[in-house]
Amino acid sequence: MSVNFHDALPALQVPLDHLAQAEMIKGLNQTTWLFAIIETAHLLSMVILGGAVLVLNLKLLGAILRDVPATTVEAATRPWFKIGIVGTIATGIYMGVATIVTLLPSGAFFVKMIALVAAILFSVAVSRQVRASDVAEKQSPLALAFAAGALWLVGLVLFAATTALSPGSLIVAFAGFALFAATLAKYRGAYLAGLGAVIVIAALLALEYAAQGSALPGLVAVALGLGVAGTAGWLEARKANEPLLGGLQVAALSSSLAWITVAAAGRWIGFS
Amino acid sequence: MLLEGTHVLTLMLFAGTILFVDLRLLGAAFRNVPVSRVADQVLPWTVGGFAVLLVTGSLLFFSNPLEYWHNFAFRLKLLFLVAAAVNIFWFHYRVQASRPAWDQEPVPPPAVRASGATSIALWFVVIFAGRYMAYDWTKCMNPGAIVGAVAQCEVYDSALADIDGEIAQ
Repeated sequence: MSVNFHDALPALQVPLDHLAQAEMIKGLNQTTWLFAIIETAHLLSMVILGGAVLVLNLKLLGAILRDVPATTVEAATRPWFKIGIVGTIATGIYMGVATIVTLLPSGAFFVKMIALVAAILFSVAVSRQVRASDVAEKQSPLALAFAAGALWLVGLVLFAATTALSPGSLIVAFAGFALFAATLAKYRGAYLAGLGAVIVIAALLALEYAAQGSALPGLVAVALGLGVAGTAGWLEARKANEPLLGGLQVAALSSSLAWITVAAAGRWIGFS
Repeated sequence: MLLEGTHVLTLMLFAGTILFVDLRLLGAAFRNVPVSRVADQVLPWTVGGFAVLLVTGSLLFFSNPLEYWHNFAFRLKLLFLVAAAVNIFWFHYRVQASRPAWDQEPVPPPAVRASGATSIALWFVVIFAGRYMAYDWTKCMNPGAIVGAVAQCEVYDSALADIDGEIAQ
Protein backbone atom coordinates (compact mmCIF):
# COMPACT_ATOMS: atom_id res chain seq x y z
CA MET A 1 0.00 0.00 0.00
CA SER A 2 1.22 3.50 -0.82
CA VAL A 3 -0.74 6.74 -0.56
CA ASN A 4 0.69 9.55 -2.63
CA PHE A 5 -0.30 12.82 -4.31
CA HIS A 6 -0.31 11.17 -7.75
CA ASP A 7 -3.20 8.85 -6.69
CA ALA A 8 -4.86 11.13 -4.13
CA LEU A 9 -4.94 14.25 -6.32
CA PRO A 10 -4.59 13.06 -9.95
CA ALA A 11 -5.68 16.48 -11.23
CA LEU A 12 -2.31 17.83 -10.08
CA GLN A 13 -0.32 15.58 -12.40
CA VAL A 14 -0.93 17.28 -15.77
CA PRO A 15 -0.26 20.89 -14.72
CA LEU A 16 2.78 19.85 -12.71
CA ASP A 17 4.11 17.80 -15.64
CA HIS A 18 3.84 20.97 -17.75
CA LEU A 19 5.61 22.89 -15.01
CA ALA A 20 8.39 20.29 -14.93
CA GLN A 21 8.89 20.74 -18.70
CA ALA A 22 9.43 24.50 -18.34
CA GLU A 23 12.96 25.50 -19.29
CA MET A 24 13.51 27.32 -16.00
CA ILE A 25 12.49 24.28 -13.93
CA LYS A 26 14.66 21.99 -16.05
CA GLY A 27 17.49 24.44 -15.49
CA LEU A 28 16.96 24.35 -11.71
CA ASN A 29 17.11 20.57 -11.70
CA GLN A 30 20.12 20.29 -14.01
CA THR A 31 22.30 22.99 -12.45
CA THR A 32 24.20 20.67 -10.09
CA TRP A 33 26.11 23.35 -8.17
CA LEU A 34 22.96 25.38 -7.50
CA PHE A 35 21.05 22.31 -6.35
CA ALA A 36 23.98 21.40 -4.05
CA ILE A 37 23.99 24.89 -2.51
CA ILE A 38 20.23 24.80 -1.93
CA GLU A 39 20.50 21.33 -0.44
CA THR A 40 23.25 22.61 1.86
CA ALA A 41 21.00 25.50 2.96
CA HIS A 42 18.17 22.98 3.54
CA LEU A 43 20.42 20.91 5.83
CA LEU A 44 21.59 24.03 7.68
CA SER A 45 17.99 25.15 8.23
CA MET A 46 17.07 21.65 9.42
CA VAL A 47 19.82 21.73 12.04
CA ILE A 48 18.66 25.17 13.29
CA LEU A 49 15.03 24.03 13.33
CA GLY A 50 15.85 20.69 14.97
CA GLY A 51 17.97 22.42 17.61
CA ALA A 52 15.25 24.95 18.46
CA VAL A 53 12.56 22.26 18.68
CA LEU A 54 14.65 19.81 20.70
CA VAL A 55 16.04 22.36 23.16
CA LEU A 56 12.54 23.63 24.00
CA ASN A 57 10.98 20.17 24.15
CA LEU A 58 13.81 18.62 26.18
CA LYS A 59 13.39 21.51 28.63
CA LEU A 60 9.65 20.83 28.88
CA LEU A 61 10.35 17.13 29.41
CA GLY A 62 12.59 18.08 32.34
CA ALA A 63 15.83 16.85 30.78
CA ILE A 64 17.72 20.16 30.42
CA LEU A 65 17.74 23.71 31.82
CA ARG A 66 15.62 22.55 34.75
CA ASP A 67 16.10 25.76 36.73
CA VAL A 68 15.42 28.08 33.78
CA PRO A 69 11.77 29.18 33.28
CA ALA A 70 10.07 27.55 30.28
CA THR A 71 9.07 31.00 29.01
CA THR A 72 12.77 32.01 28.87
CA VAL A 73 13.66 28.91 26.85
CA GLU A 74 10.66 29.43 24.54
CA ALA A 75 11.62 33.07 23.96
CA ALA A 76 15.27 32.13 23.30
CA THR A 77 14.45 29.38 20.81
CA ARG A 78 11.53 31.09 19.01
CA PRO A 79 13.58 33.31 16.61
CA TRP A 80 15.74 30.34 15.64
CA PHE A 81 12.66 28.18 15.15
CA LYS A 82 11.31 30.80 12.74
CA ILE A 83 14.63 31.06 10.87
CA GLY A 84 14.80 27.27 10.64
CA ILE A 85 11.26 26.84 9.41
CA VAL A 86 11.44 29.63 6.82
CA GLY A 87 14.79 28.31 5.55
CA THR A 88 13.65 24.68 5.45
CA ILE A 89 10.40 25.44 3.64
CA ALA A 90 11.94 27.94 1.17
CA THR A 91 14.76 25.57 0.18
CA GLY A 92 12.36 22.62 0.29
CA ILE A 93 10.06 24.37 -2.21
CA TYR A 94 13.01 24.92 -4.56
CA MET A 95 14.05 21.27 -4.35
CA GLY A 96 10.41 20.14 -4.61
CA VAL A 97 9.75 22.21 -7.73
CA ALA A 98 12.95 20.99 -9.35
CA THR A 99 12.03 17.35 -8.79
CA ILE A 100 8.22 17.54 -8.69
CA VAL A 101 7.62 14.71 -11.20
CA THR A 102 9.38 12.18 -8.95
CA LEU A 103 7.80 13.52 -5.76
CA LEU A 104 4.12 13.18 -6.70
CA PRO A 105 4.11 9.34 -6.83
CA SER A 106 6.25 9.15 -3.67
CA GLY A 107 4.55 7.78 -0.55
CA ALA A 108 7.37 9.20 1.57
CA PHE A 109 6.72 12.72 0.23
CA PHE A 110 3.01 12.38 1.11
CA VAL A 111 3.89 11.30 4.66
CA LYS A 112 6.40 14.13 4.92
CA MET A 113 3.84 16.77 3.96
CA ILE A 114 1.24 15.47 6.43
CA ALA A 115 3.82 15.23 9.20
CA LEU A 116 5.11 18.73 8.35
CA VAL A 117 1.68 20.29 8.90
CA ALA A 118 1.27 18.28 12.11
CA ALA A 119 4.72 19.27 13.37
CA ILE A 120 4.13 22.97 12.74
CA LEU A 121 0.76 22.79 14.53
CA PHE A 122 2.36 20.93 17.45
CA SER A 123 5.14 23.49 17.77
CA VAL A 124 2.68 26.37 17.68
CA ALA A 125 0.49 24.64 20.30
CA VAL A 126 3.45 23.96 22.60
CA SER A 127 4.74 27.56 22.28
CA ARG A 128 1.27 28.99 22.95
CA GLN A 129 0.82 26.79 26.00
CA VAL A 130 4.19 27.86 27.41
CA ARG A 131 3.42 31.54 26.79
CA ALA A 132 -0.09 31.13 28.21
CA SER A 133 1.45 30.12 31.54
CA ASP A 134 2.97 33.60 31.71
CA VAL A 135 -0.21 35.65 31.21
CA ALA A 136 -3.30 36.07 33.36
CA GLU A 137 -5.79 34.73 30.81
CA LYS A 138 -4.96 31.14 30.07
CA GLN A 139 -6.10 29.78 26.75
CA SER A 140 -5.06 26.19 26.30
CA PRO A 141 -4.52 25.36 22.60
CA LEU A 142 -6.12 21.95 23.04
CA ALA A 143 -7.90 21.93 19.66
CA LEU A 144 -4.64 22.75 17.89
CA ALA A 145 -2.82 19.97 19.73
CA PHE A 146 -5.54 17.43 18.97
CA ALA A 147 -5.57 18.39 15.26
CA ALA A 148 -1.78 18.05 15.19
CA GLY A 149 -1.95 14.71 16.98
CA ALA A 150 -4.58 13.31 14.62
CA LEU A 151 -2.64 14.41 11.52
CA TRP A 152 0.62 13.07 12.86
CA LEU A 153 -0.93 9.68 13.69
CA VAL A 154 -2.31 9.46 10.12
CA GLY A 155 1.18 10.21 8.76
CA LEU A 156 2.78 7.70 11.12
CA VAL A 157 0.32 4.91 10.24
CA LEU A 158 0.95 5.51 6.51
CA PHE A 159 4.70 5.52 7.19
CA ALA A 160 4.53 2.19 9.05
CA ALA A 161 2.00 0.54 6.70
CA THR A 162 3.86 1.30 3.44
CA THR A 163 6.25 -1.61 2.89
CA ALA A 164 9.03 0.44 1.29
CA LEU A 165 8.88 3.06 4.04
CA SER A 166 8.28 1.03 7.20
CA PRO A 167 11.97 0.96 8.27
CA GLY A 168 11.77 4.76 8.50
CA SER A 169 8.92 4.51 10.99
CA LEU A 170 11.14 2.30 13.16
CA ILE A 171 13.54 5.23 13.49
CA VAL A 172 10.67 7.41 14.68
CA ALA A 173 9.66 4.75 17.22
CA PHE A 174 13.19 4.42 18.59
CA ALA A 175 13.69 8.19 18.65
CA GLY A 176 10.53 8.25 20.78
CA PHE A 177 11.96 5.60 23.10
CA ALA A 178 15.21 7.57 23.38
CA LEU A 179 13.39 10.84 24.12
CA PHE A 180 11.24 9.07 26.69
CA ALA A 181 14.42 8.72 28.74
CA ALA A 182 14.25 12.50 29.22
CA THR A 183 11.11 12.11 31.35
CA LEU A 184 12.76 9.63 33.73
CA ALA A 185 15.00 10.40 36.67
CA LYS A 186 15.58 7.47 39.01
CA TYR A 187 15.16 4.74 36.41
CA ARG A 188 16.79 6.53 33.42
CA GLY A 189 20.02 4.47 33.51
CA ALA A 190 18.19 1.14 33.81
CA TYR A 191 15.78 2.18 31.05
CA LEU A 192 18.59 3.11 28.65
CA ALA A 193 20.33 -0.20 29.40
CA GLY A 194 17.06 -2.02 28.64
CA LEU A 195 16.64 -0.04 25.43
CA GLY A 196 20.20 -0.92 24.43
CA ALA A 197 19.39 -4.60 24.97
CA VAL A 198 16.28 -4.26 22.79
CA ILE A 199 18.38 -2.71 19.99
CA VAL A 200 20.90 -5.59 20.21
CA ILE A 201 18.06 -8.17 20.09
CA ALA A 202 16.50 -6.33 17.12
CA ALA A 203 19.84 -6.24 15.29
CA LEU A 204 20.34 -9.99 15.84
CA LEU A 205 16.80 -10.71 14.63
CA ALA A 206 17.36 -8.46 11.62
CA LEU A 207 20.51 -10.41 10.68
CA GLU A 208 18.43 -13.60 10.80
CA TYR A 209 15.16 -12.48 9.17
CA ALA A 210 15.53 -9.14 7.39
CA ALA A 211 17.01 -10.69 4.24
CA GLN A 212 13.72 -12.54 3.73
CA GLY A 213 11.85 -9.23 3.88
CA SER A 214 10.23 -10.17 7.18
CA ALA A 215 8.74 -7.41 9.33
CA LEU A 216 9.22 -9.58 12.43
CA PRO A 217 12.43 -7.90 13.74
CA GLY A 218 10.82 -4.47 13.59
CA LEU A 219 7.58 -5.57 15.24
CA VAL A 220 9.42 -7.43 18.01
CA ALA A 221 11.72 -4.43 18.57
CA VAL A 222 8.81 -1.98 18.89
CA ALA A 223 6.86 -4.35 21.18
CA LEU A 224 9.90 -4.87 23.42
CA GLY A 225 10.66 -1.12 23.38
CA LEU A 226 7.08 -0.33 24.42
CA GLY A 227 7.35 -2.93 27.18
CA VAL A 228 10.60 -1.48 28.53
CA ALA A 229 9.26 2.11 28.31
CA GLY A 230 5.96 1.15 29.95
CA THR A 231 7.69 -0.65 32.80
CA ALA A 232 10.17 2.19 33.42
CA GLY A 233 7.39 4.79 33.24
CA TRP A 234 5.20 2.82 35.67
CA LEU A 235 8.06 2.37 38.14
CA GLU A 236 9.03 6.06 37.91
CA ALA A 237 5.43 7.26 38.40
CA ARG A 238 4.98 4.92 41.36
CA LYS A 239 8.18 6.19 42.95
CA ALA A 240 7.25 9.85 42.42
CA ASN A 241 3.62 9.17 43.34
CA GLU A 242 2.36 11.38 40.50
CA PRO A 243 1.66 10.99 36.75
CA LEU A 244 4.84 10.77 34.69
CA LEU A 245 3.69 13.10 31.91
CA GLY A 246 1.38 16.11 31.96
CA GLY A 247 -0.42 17.43 28.88
CA LEU A 248 2.42 19.81 27.99
CA GLN A 249 5.00 17.01 28.24
CA VAL A 250 2.92 14.77 25.98
CA ALA A 251 2.66 17.62 23.46
CA ALA A 252 6.42 18.31 23.70
CA LEU A 253 7.28 14.64 23.11
CA SER A 254 4.78 14.42 20.23
CA SER A 255 6.09 17.66 18.71
CA SER A 256 9.66 16.31 18.67
CA LEU A 257 8.49 13.03 17.16
CA ALA A 258 6.40 14.79 14.51
CA TRP A 259 9.49 16.73 13.40
CA ILE A 260 11.51 13.50 13.43
CA THR A 261 8.80 11.94 11.24
CA VAL A 262 9.21 14.85 8.78
CA ALA A 263 12.97 14.34 8.65
CA ALA A 264 12.76 10.53 8.40
CA ALA A 265 10.14 10.67 5.62
CA GLY A 266 12.32 13.25 3.85
CA ARG A 267 15.28 10.87 3.97
CA TRP A 268 13.10 8.02 2.72
CA ILE A 269 12.13 10.05 -0.36
CA GLY A 270 15.70 9.41 -1.48
CA PHE A 271 15.61 5.73 -0.53
CA SER A 272 12.25 4.80 -2.09
CA MET B 1 18.88 2.35 5.14
CA LEU B 2 18.20 2.18 8.88
CA LEU B 3 21.81 2.93 9.72
CA GLU B 4 22.03 5.83 7.29
CA GLY B 5 18.63 7.18 8.36
CA THR B 6 19.63 7.00 12.03
CA HIS B 7 22.96 8.68 11.22
CA VAL B 8 21.27 11.57 9.38
CA LEU B 9 18.50 12.06 11.93
CA THR B 10 20.85 11.99 14.91
CA LEU B 11 22.52 15.01 13.32
CA MET B 12 19.48 17.02 14.40
CA LEU B 13 20.16 16.10 18.03
CA PHE B 14 23.93 16.50 17.90
CA ALA B 15 24.28 19.62 15.76
CA GLY B 16 21.03 21.18 17.00
CA THR B 17 22.08 21.03 20.65
CA ILE B 18 25.70 22.08 20.11
CA LEU B 19 24.40 24.98 18.01
CA PHE B 20 22.53 26.41 20.99
CA VAL B 21 25.56 26.05 23.29
CA ASP B 22 27.64 27.87 20.65
CA LEU B 23 24.94 30.53 20.22
CA ARG B 24 25.13 31.14 23.98
CA LEU B 25 28.93 31.48 23.70
CA LEU B 26 28.33 34.04 20.94
CA GLY B 27 25.78 35.90 23.07
CA ALA B 28 23.11 35.24 20.45
CA ALA B 29 20.74 33.13 22.60
CA PHE B 30 20.01 32.58 26.32
CA ARG B 31 21.83 35.83 27.16
CA ASN B 32 20.33 35.94 30.65
CA VAL B 33 21.20 32.32 31.47
CA PRO B 34 24.76 31.55 32.69
CA VAL B 35 26.95 29.83 30.10
CA SER B 36 27.75 27.05 32.59
CA ARG B 37 24.05 26.23 33.01
CA VAL B 38 23.45 25.95 29.27
CA ALA B 39 26.66 24.04 28.57
CA ASP B 40 26.51 21.64 31.53
CA GLN B 41 22.89 20.63 30.94
CA VAL B 42 22.71 20.61 27.13
CA LEU B 43 26.10 19.11 26.24
CA PRO B 44 25.37 15.61 27.66
CA TRP B 45 22.68 15.30 24.95
CA THR B 46 25.20 16.51 22.37
CA VAL B 47 27.67 13.86 23.54
CA GLY B 48 24.93 11.19 23.43
CA GLY B 49 24.12 12.23 19.85
CA PHE B 50 27.80 12.12 18.93
CA ALA B 51 28.12 8.59 20.34
CA VAL B 52 25.25 7.41 18.12
CA LEU B 53 26.80 9.23 15.12
CA LEU B 54 30.16 7.60 15.81
CA VAL B 55 28.67 4.08 15.99
CA THR B 56 26.41 4.45 12.94
CA GLY B 57 29.10 6.33 10.98
CA SER B 58 31.70 3.62 11.70
CA LEU B 59 29.29 0.86 10.68
CA LEU B 60 28.47 2.75 7.47
CA PHE B 61 32.19 3.23 6.73
CA PHE B 62 33.00 -0.44 7.21
CA SER B 63 30.11 -1.44 4.95
CA ASN B 64 32.15 -0.07 2.02
CA PRO B 65 35.55 1.11 3.24
CA LEU B 66 37.24 1.35 -0.18
CA GLU B 67 34.58 3.68 -1.59
CA TYR B 68 34.43 5.88 1.50
CA TRP B 69 38.19 6.09 2.06
CA HIS B 70 38.76 7.23 -1.53
CA ASN B 71 36.02 9.85 -1.44
CA PHE B 72 37.17 13.47 -1.59
CA ALA B 73 34.35 14.73 0.68
CA PHE B 74 34.97 11.93 3.23
CA ARG B 75 38.58 13.01 3.58
CA LEU B 76 37.51 16.62 4.00
CA LYS B 77 35.01 15.49 6.62
CA LEU B 78 37.74 13.67 8.57
CA LEU B 79 40.01 16.73 8.34
CA PHE B 80 37.33 19.05 9.71
CA LEU B 81 36.37 16.50 12.39
CA VAL B 82 39.96 16.67 13.63
CA ALA B 83 39.83 20.49 13.48
CA ALA B 84 36.56 20.47 15.47
CA ALA B 85 38.15 18.17 18.05
CA VAL B 86 41.14 20.54 18.36
CA ASN B 87 38.70 23.43 18.90
CA ILE B 88 36.92 21.47 21.65
CA PHE B 89 40.20 20.79 23.45
CA TRP B 90 41.28 24.42 22.98
CA PHE B 91 37.99 25.62 24.44
CA HIS B 92 38.00 23.11 27.29
CA TYR B 93 41.59 23.62 28.46
CA ARG B 94 42.29 27.26 27.55
CA VAL B 95 39.18 29.36 26.97
CA GLN B 96 36.99 27.75 29.63
CA ALA B 97 39.65 28.13 32.31
CA SER B 98 38.47 31.70 32.91
CA ARG B 99 34.75 30.83 32.78
CA PRO B 100 33.83 32.17 36.25
CA ALA B 101 34.84 35.66 35.01
CA TRP B 102 32.40 35.66 32.05
CA ASP B 103 29.88 32.97 32.96
CA GLN B 104 27.09 35.49 33.65
CA GLU B 105 28.01 37.92 30.85
CA PRO B 106 25.22 38.30 28.23
CA VAL B 107 27.93 38.57 25.58
CA PRO B 108 31.13 36.67 26.51
CA PRO B 109 34.64 38.00 25.64
CA PRO B 110 36.01 37.82 22.05
CA ALA B 111 38.08 34.66 22.64
CA VAL B 112 34.97 32.78 23.81
CA ARG B 113 32.88 34.08 20.92
CA ALA B 114 35.63 33.12 18.48
CA SER B 115 35.64 29.57 19.83
CA GLY B 116 31.82 29.38 19.53
CA ALA B 117 31.86 30.72 15.97
CA THR B 118 34.67 28.32 15.02
CA SER B 119 32.70 25.42 16.46
CA ILE B 120 29.56 26.30 14.47
CA ALA B 121 31.56 26.76 11.25
CA LEU B 122 33.52 23.51 11.65
CA TRP B 123 30.51 21.35 12.49
CA PHE B 124 28.53 22.74 9.58
CA VAL B 125 31.42 21.98 7.22
CA VAL B 126 31.59 18.44 8.63
CA ILE B 127 27.86 18.02 7.93
CA PHE B 128 28.09 19.48 4.42
CA ALA B 129 31.09 17.28 3.59
CA GLY B 130 29.10 14.28 4.79
CA ARG B 131 26.21 15.21 2.49
CA TYR B 132 28.53 15.84 -0.47
CA MET B 133 29.95 12.32 -0.16
CA ALA B 134 26.88 11.21 -2.10
CA TYR B 135 27.69 13.45 -5.09
CA ASP B 136 29.48 11.67 -7.96
CA TRP B 137 32.04 14.44 -8.38
CA THR B 138 33.52 13.68 -4.94
CA LYS B 139 34.06 10.01 -5.87
CA CYS B 140 36.74 8.35 -7.98
CA MET B 141 34.43 8.30 -11.02
CA ASN B 142 36.15 10.39 -13.70
CA PRO B 143 37.60 12.60 -10.95
CA GLY B 144 39.01 16.07 -11.54
CA ALA B 145 42.69 16.72 -10.83
CA ILE B 146 42.19 17.93 -7.25
CA VAL B 147 39.62 15.28 -6.32
CA GLY B 148 41.81 12.55 -7.86
CA ALA B 149 44.91 13.72 -5.98
CA VAL B 150 43.23 14.24 -2.58
CA ALA B 151 41.20 11.01 -2.77
CA GLN B 152 44.21 9.03 -4.14
CA CYS B 153 42.10 7.68 -6.98
CA GLU B 154 45.09 5.88 -8.53
CA VAL B 155 45.36 3.74 -5.39
CA TYR B 156 41.57 3.19 -5.55
CA ASP B 157 41.74 2.06 -9.19
CA SER B 158 44.62 -0.28 -8.44
CA ALA B 159 42.83 -1.78 -5.38
CA LEU B 160 39.68 -2.26 -7.45
CA ALA B 161 41.68 -4.00 -10.21
CA ASP B 162 43.25 -6.32 -7.59
CA ILE B 163 39.80 -7.18 -6.20
CA ASP B 164 38.45 -7.85 -9.71
CA GLY B 165 41.46 -10.09 -10.36
CA GLU B 166 40.87 -12.08 -7.17
CA ILE B 167 37.17 -12.49 -7.98
CA ALA B 168 38.03 -13.68 -11.51
CA GLN B 169 40.30 -16.44 -10.09
